Amino acid sequence: MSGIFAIIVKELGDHLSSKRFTILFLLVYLAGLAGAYFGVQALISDPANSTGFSFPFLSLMTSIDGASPPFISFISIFGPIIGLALGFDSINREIASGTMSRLASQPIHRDDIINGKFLAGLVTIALLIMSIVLIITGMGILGLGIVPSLEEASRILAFSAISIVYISLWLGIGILLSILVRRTATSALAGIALWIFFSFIILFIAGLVTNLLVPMKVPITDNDPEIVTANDALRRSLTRLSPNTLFDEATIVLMNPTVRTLGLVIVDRPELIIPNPIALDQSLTLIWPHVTGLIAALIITFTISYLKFMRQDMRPSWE
Amino acid sequence: MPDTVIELDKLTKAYGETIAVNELSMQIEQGEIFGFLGPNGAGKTTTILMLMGLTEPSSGIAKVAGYQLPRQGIKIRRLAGYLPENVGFYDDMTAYQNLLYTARLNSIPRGESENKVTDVLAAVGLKDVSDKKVGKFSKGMKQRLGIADVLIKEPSVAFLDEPTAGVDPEGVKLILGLIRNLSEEKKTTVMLSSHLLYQVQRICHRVGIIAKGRLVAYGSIERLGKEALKGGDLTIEVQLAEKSESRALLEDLRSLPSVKDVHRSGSALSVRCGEDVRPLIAKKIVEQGAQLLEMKLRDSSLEEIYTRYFRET
Ligand SMILES: Nc1ncnc2c1ncn2[C@@H]1O[C@H](COP(=O)(O)OP(=O)(O)OP(=O)(O)O)[C@@H](O)[C@H]1O
Ligand SMILES: [Mg+2]
Repeated sequence: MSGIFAIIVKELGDHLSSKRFTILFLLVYLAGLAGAYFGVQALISDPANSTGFSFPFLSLMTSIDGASPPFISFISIFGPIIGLALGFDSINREIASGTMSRLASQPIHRDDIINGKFLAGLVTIALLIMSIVLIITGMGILGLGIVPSLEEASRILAFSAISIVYISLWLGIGILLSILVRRTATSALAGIALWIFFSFIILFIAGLVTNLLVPMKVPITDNDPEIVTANDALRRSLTRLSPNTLFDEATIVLMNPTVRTLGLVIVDRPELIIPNPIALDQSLTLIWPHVTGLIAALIITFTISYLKFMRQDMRPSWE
Repeated sequence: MPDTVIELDKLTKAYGETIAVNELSMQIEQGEIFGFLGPNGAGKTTTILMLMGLTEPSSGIAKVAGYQLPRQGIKIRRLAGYLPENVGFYDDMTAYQNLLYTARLNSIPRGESENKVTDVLAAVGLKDVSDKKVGKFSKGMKQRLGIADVLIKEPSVAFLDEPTAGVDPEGVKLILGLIRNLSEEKKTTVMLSSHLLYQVQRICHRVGIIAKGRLVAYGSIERLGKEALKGGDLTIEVQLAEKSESRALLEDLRSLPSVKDVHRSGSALSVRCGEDVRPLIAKKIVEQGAQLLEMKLRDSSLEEIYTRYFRET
């Protein structure tokens, strides 16, 4: 018990004092603060703004009328890099520098090493996300002169929690790579490759596969509505194999209470579109599969890390 | 009756086709310094890794202090210290901080650990550089710090993998002294690996020689020396005064019982024989009127051990 605690304390100290963390910290704060600043300006100049009107604090993180990308998109794109940066060399660097065999020969369980490293990364991520979210909210309170409603506060809290899970998943992927790949430069590159794959390439692949299996005529209006729905459903399911899609969809529902479905909205059936926002618990029901999907992916990643690491020789160095 | 602390029974480790350690059986008693010797790739490190629970045996039994590996590895790691070969430290932390981390991992209470770290750093002669980042340490300094890292645990068993590698003569003396202290004062059982027979034989009570994963010799240095010599020849070196040797003397010596060969270079003779015939040689020299300056039996036991067990692989 005290062993894993010692590991967490050391790793956390390493993270917080590292140049790497300083860079991540600056980027996240820059993006968050810029978004909040332009969001506040937009709300002040146009108080009746449709998205900002009923949920001003949510709009600080989602508005696209500012000069910077919304904070939720920033986390979606940049979150994996944060997680990878905290994890990609956690194991292989210790092996290469000969500290792993010394660490593993202490009276600790072998899994304490990866658990400790993961938990230290998790705390770092939580500190980063919670602090910037609090600061954005604070800027809103000061700039707008109002406090967030309970509904807004809950949605922001849920968004923070999902962001932490999402970034931790990429931390877990980073740790797994640091176990599977010997050289830190290679594991960094492998991490970036996975990030590009799950952020971009999977979208092309999903489109290709979908159009092969459920071909559609051009223009789109020539198709049977059933085909269109089937095509869309398949494409969506395929892209949901990416944690990034799961996160994007979950945050859109959470931060835009008017979004009531994640399927295709058939434009010629207006009775399906209701402009009124839905309640938080309805939003949560809608994204519950996404959250469990992210957590399941994290558990799978961690299990593979665990199995690989437990069976590894703790040789003084790779060669 | 000394207790057996380390016990191996047909311990085997295979990496695919390669058998790194092959049915190794031996016992090491409490307080003993055991030298585990062998050429590169013999399986020394692999054996130690199995004894610390850092790699899983393929078959066979390994026990340390009564605990069985790898199942009770954590119990063994609580009481055993390990110095890896090419020991590494966190480069951006000081020597002091590195050792403090080890103390924390061993649940040494905060109040005690700071004094202990200072003490062990002084013991290995690193007191003056305790606040220097380890990244700036030389190989030998890191090796000393590795010893300190073992000492801080106050282990009852210590596995030291090439403790003197890369250390200057002064440092070797210091490290060997510390190891001897551990055994004599703290009754720590020490298993140290090396391929430098000459360097470690001074402090080892017993040695085991491993080659290609198999234990080829096991026992005290004297016994191994005698065994290695069995059936071999002795060499007696004779130094005569200038120009006092003669053809007749050489003939005489060759005719002595068990003498196989006599070599002459200047006034030095070297006599190869089956047993120690120094008294007979002295007598002949005197009879021939030559002047004997010096005569000695060449101490070749270590060399014999070395060539016999190390080079044959
Ligand atoms: N991970 C591995 N996979 C395959 N073979 C291995 C592995 N690790 C070690 N070996 C082999 O096991 C054998 C024993 O290696 P070991 O490191 O135990 O030798 P050693 O006696 O410590 O040598 P040295 O004096 O060089 O340190 C060697 O033949 C080595 O090639
Ligand atoms: Mg070795």
